[in-house]
Amino acid sequence: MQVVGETTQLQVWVATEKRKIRINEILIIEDKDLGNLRGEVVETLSYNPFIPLNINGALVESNVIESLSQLGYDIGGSEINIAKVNLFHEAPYPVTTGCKVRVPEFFEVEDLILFGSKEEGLVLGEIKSTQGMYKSLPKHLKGIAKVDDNGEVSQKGVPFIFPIKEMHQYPHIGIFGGSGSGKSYGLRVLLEEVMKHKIPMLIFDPHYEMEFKGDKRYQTSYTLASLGSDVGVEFSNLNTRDLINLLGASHTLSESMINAIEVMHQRNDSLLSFTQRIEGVVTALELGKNGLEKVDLDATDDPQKVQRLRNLLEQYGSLPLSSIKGLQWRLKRLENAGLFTQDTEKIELGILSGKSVVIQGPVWLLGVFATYVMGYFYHKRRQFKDKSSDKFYPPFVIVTDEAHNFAPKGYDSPSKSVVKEIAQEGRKYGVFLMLATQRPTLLDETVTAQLNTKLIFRTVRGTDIATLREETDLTERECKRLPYLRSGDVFLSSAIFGRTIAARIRMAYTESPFSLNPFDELREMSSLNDKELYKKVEPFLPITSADFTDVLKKIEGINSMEELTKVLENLSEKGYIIEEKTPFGQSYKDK
Amino acid sequence: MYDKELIEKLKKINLTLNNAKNNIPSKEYIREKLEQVGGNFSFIKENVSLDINLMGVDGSFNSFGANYPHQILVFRALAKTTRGSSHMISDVVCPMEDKVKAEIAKISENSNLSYSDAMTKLVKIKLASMELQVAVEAIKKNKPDVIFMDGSLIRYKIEDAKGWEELKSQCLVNDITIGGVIEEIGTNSISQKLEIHGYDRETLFNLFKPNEKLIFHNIKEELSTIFYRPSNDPHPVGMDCLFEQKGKIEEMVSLANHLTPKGGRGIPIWLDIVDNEVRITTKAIKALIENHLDEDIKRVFFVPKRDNRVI
Repeated sequence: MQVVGETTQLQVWVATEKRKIRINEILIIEDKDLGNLRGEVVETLSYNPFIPLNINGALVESNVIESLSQLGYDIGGSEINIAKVNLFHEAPYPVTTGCKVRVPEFFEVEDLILFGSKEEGLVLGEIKSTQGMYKSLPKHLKGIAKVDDNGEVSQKGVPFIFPIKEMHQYPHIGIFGGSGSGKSYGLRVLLEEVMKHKIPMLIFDPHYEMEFKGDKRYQTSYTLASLGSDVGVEFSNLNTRDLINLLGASHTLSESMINAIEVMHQRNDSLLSFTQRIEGVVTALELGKNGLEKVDLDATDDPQKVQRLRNLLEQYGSLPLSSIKGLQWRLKRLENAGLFTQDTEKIELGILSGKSVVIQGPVWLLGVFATYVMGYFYHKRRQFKDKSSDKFYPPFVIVTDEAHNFAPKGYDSPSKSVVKEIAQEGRKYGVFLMLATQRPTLLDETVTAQLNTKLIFRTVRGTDIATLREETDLTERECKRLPYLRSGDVFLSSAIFGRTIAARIRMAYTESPFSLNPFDELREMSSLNDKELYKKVEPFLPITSADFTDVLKKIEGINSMEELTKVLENLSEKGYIIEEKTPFGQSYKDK
Repeated sequence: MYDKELIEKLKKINLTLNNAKNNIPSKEYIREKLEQVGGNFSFIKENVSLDINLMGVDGSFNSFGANYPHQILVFRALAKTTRGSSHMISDVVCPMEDKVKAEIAKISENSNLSYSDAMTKLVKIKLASMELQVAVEAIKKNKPDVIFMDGSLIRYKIEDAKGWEELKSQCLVNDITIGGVIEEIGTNSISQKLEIHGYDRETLFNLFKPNEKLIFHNIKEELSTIFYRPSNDPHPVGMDCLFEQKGKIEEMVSLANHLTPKGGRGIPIWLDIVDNEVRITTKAIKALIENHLDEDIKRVFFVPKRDNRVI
């Protein structure tokens, strides 16, 4: 490789006939005066004298090109590869044209591509276009980040290691990418690595996909908690603010409803006492003062109860009935979802023992719960650090997919204030966020701005690309590549290493419950059915049309002539049995 | 901006040339006349065997510097086959070298030319003999079936008779068909034969239908020449073949025609590819000199003052 054409102190063109040049590849330019300069390929093109189909002004027709290849001329072989290379550090004067360019040895660029040790960092994948350095890679860095490249699983380049300790300086991670871009997969790999370091995590999983099956090492690192049946909210722990947030999470509350909660909720209320109070107020308001007096006259009811209703009426009689009924309905909904049947003990135990707790539930309920639980644990940790509590609480990481539901842009949601607070102040207390979303544009801006590291997968939407361009150091050129990234390819933009790195996410060690392609799943299911049917039919083979009535009588689960014909036809079509035409009608034989 | 005199003179030339153009006999007349003297228009056959190893030979020359003798001349010749072998030789000549000085003096004396004209002649000779040399060397290394030379074969005979004989005998011994592809027809032999005033270029203009050809034997000594129109361009092109190989001339033309882009100027693509590879651009020669000649030497001897023009 050689420097060609005009050069500047920042940028050179490199050309070679011998090899392909990869985008994002790091190259070393051996300039006699400037010494060895390091640069990154930012643009590649391949030039063939004939493919522009214009040689010396004449358009070359395809049949002429074809004849050339028939004559034995290797058209592809005369290709010239050209790359635009940006220098990492500005040179004092332009690079000498014609100087040699080569692939670096690993140690020469180590500071540019290795950001931490594999013991202390997160091994997330392989840095793209570093294949040339694999030979000179130290042994302990080989074979630790196998990637799937067109079905071939191996590590061919330098691993990408994210120095998680640096998060203390530059907290929070954002994971962006459209559906099918490898975002959830990337999140999985990220979580696997965090778990390896025994850092406790609070994972909100609205898709029920964050199970880590298939690798024993992770089995003890996480607890699965289903919202409503394993974990929930201890009602008596709620203060009035929490309760307003909870009730407001699924459907917004009106001013009078908030007022009603503030008036009616009392310290240490249990679910029972609170619902009874609401019910009582509803009954009292419905009966009204006159009604209650009538009840007294009949004297058929419990006088104590009547007295209680009267007290309630006196106390809360000014509240509008419709608001209280609205509250009653909202409370019922949460109760039915099981939110109040359990408490947060399982989560607390998990966090304290350094495990990751995966909380699964429908997204609306998860939002409600996350609001409560994030605030709860964040404040416990905060109290420990502020020395207002002696009880040790470990630092932890909060992880969620569909993060735009938790901290939406443009309108207020109960969870938003918590997420925002952690985004802005969590660093001090060692509480970090990992937020994944398909739509970075819908995520609150204050939160986006605090995500110091961003993993950007394939993104197609223009508005999202524009947001990413604003929020990262992705260049125009890189943004243009965003819609075409392969699933699993990612740009890592981080304040920690100060530039954008293209990488490919490594193979996950664990499996998602959704890893099976839905179409394969369908086929698998239908072939399962075929097998079952074949088993049923098998004892009666060969079957001719004359036998049908006989077979029908003996076979189970097939009830009509029509059905039997269909089953046999289907089985012969799928190759389980052979269909033959005989003078006496169809005959079905075993293979 | 331009003075009137200049414009008037150009208009006059235009008028003269217009008259000359009007004096060219009609297409029909010329065709008839050509047929009378034994010319036979026919269409190029389409069936071409591409199971051959085709070699293209071309040379290139460029110079850097001021006027004679403060110049550096760079030569390059390339023989490249379609089967992937390529053989290139190159040379750098400076008229200030003693050896070159002597050569120029010799040419000047023999041909009665000024020194700078003698150098122009030297360039031609040098280019022709380098092309011949590279062709012979390439034949020995990698035997092609067909050779296309860039330009008329007669040129080689004129500039370097000895080298031409060597190449010719190599081709005949090894049964290699050789053809010279003539892009620019510069002869007047056909016009003379038809007793038409002017050059063949004018006479043959728009005479051919696309893919039509016309063969002449011995209008140049020892060579057969064929004129044909391979592309849509109304100017025909020509091809020379050895008289000994005249039986193969139709095959050669078919091959050349087949390999010529119809929208182009009429040259087989292979020669363009060879030309593209061998060409020494002014930019390239400048870069070479910048990198490999000391700055003071460059300044003292070669940089023309016109390079320092400011307006």
